[in-house]
Amino acid sequence: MQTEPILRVEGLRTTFSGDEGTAVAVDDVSFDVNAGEIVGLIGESGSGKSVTALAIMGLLPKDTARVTAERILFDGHDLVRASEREMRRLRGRAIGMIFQEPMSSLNPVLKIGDQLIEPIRIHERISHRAAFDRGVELLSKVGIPSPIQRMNDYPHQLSGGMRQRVMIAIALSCSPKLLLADEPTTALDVTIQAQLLDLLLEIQSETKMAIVLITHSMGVIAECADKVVVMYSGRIAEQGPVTEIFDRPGHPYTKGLMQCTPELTGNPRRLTTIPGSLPSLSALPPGCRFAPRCGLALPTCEAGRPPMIGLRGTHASACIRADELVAAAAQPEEADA
Amino acid sequence: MTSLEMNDTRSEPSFLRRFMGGRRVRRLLRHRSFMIGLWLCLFVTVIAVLAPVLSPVDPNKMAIRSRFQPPSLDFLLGTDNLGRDLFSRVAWGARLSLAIGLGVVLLNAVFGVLLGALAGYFRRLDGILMRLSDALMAFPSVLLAIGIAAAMGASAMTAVISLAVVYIPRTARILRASVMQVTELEFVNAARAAGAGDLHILRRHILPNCMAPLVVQLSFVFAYAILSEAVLSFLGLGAAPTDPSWGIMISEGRSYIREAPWMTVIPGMAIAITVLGLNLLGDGLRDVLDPRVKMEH
Repeated sequence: MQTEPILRVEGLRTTFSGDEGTAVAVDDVSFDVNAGEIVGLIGESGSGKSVTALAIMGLLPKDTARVTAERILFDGHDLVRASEREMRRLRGRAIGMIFQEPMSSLNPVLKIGDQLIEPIRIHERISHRAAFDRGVELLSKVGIPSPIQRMNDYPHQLSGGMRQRVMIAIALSCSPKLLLADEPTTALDVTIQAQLLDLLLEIQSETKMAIVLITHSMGVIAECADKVVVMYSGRIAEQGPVTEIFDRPGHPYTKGLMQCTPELTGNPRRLTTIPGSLPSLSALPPGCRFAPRCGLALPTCEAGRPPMIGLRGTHASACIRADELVAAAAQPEEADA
Repeated sequence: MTSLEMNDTRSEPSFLRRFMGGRRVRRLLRHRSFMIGLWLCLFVTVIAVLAPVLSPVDPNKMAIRSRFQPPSLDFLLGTDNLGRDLFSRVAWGARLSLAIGLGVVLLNAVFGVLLGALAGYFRRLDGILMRLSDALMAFPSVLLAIGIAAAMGASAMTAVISLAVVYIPRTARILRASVMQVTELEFVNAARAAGAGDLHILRRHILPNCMAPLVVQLSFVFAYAILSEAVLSFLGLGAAPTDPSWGIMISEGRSYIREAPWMTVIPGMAIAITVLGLNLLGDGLRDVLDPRVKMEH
């Protein structure tokens, strides 16, 4: 595994100012993505996953959102301090992005082909003909049958799954080094979801690009990711290698997320839910933000923000009882053995 | 070419082919009031285009012997106080009215779209542009047109400019609203994520999605412009008095309304037919193109 990350996010903070005051959507988020690695960003709706991705891309509305960070290093560029011109050159070429909603992320009045070759035409000096040929190639690569005909179709002629394949093709059109996939399968049927994830994995193993996969499904993470970043209420709750997190979760929130995912093997059990809901961004608890919903909370949890505690290797958790949790998780395994 | 096509294709060359698609065209062709409007507009357009061929005599040729002739086989729509053939004058008047209407529509399409797009997309410009348009819209439209026309001196060109000034803020507002709406859609973000710049996004992604309300608005502007031009001409602030303009014809006929009512009625009917046609056309377009109306049906 490479040591130099392709993307290094340090101390990312994003605030939105509106009529009701200022809300901190993302607060001090730091993580690394190594080249060729798939990093899963997981959390409930509203935990700041998408905002993190949009902040990295510099796509948040400038009039309401304020993005600060120590740095967001991508391939030698500091994205927080990059000019809009520089960002435009990176977007679509070095960093691709897939959005959640395939139904609305394609322009209804433009042909698939025109939208597919748009980033190629923006970033490369290449004839329309050559770009078109590349578009056809991309469409067949993402598994769209009769790609030449599809190039001349309009988005409404395609199903949701097909459109998302087109979105993937668009994101891949300039062979990016990093792909930000914001819940790429959430809006689709389960069978289509699996197909698309397989497609992403297949392309990833071929191109060796890094992927930040945003999702709220632990299943997706288990299937795809090398590393996991668990977000809760704008902060990182826990991060580490995927096997580590699944075997020895160091944060009660991660544990809760896993317990509300059904398992296909073993005895069916009643799924547990995490009681309560995300705190409102305008009324955040002073200490650990998960404390009000946490079964293991101690009085000290409410006092101050818990530090990231390093566990084994790169595994770290923002829970003061992380060590206990990890130790507890290790025990039943031994009992089984 | 119908007046509808003139109207559309000037603002966006491949609009009909690209945006309306087969299904919408078929829905339009089945829309009754749209079709009535279309035929009325076609009728007026044909008369305007063929005026030199159709009119039996020069519209300005006076024939003192045949003054005040009521409509008959010799003079299809009668003659006026100077013995000029009213059919010829109405036909040539159609040319003038449509030309002025088209001029106003074109200016609206260019400047209304430009200002609306800037205000809707670049939020910093919005405040100042919209306050300017508020200021213009605060005046009653005809009064403002009269003011501008009076200040610039009467001519057909003045009428076009003053009417354009009156209607451009309205067009800009409608476009601004749809630009703001479309800007929020995900594909705009997706285009940005592909590295597209603001102007590219506006031109290629946002404006083509704002064409439906624009076309509807322009068809109404066309109608209002023809009506207001007649008002300006009636008041002596539009076309030159020698030009065969519907407004001028009504104004001339007013003195003889008891003796020769057709002098007023004929150009009045011409205005009514044209404006009605354009309004029906606009209603039909709105029914078919505007998604909000469609939902109610």
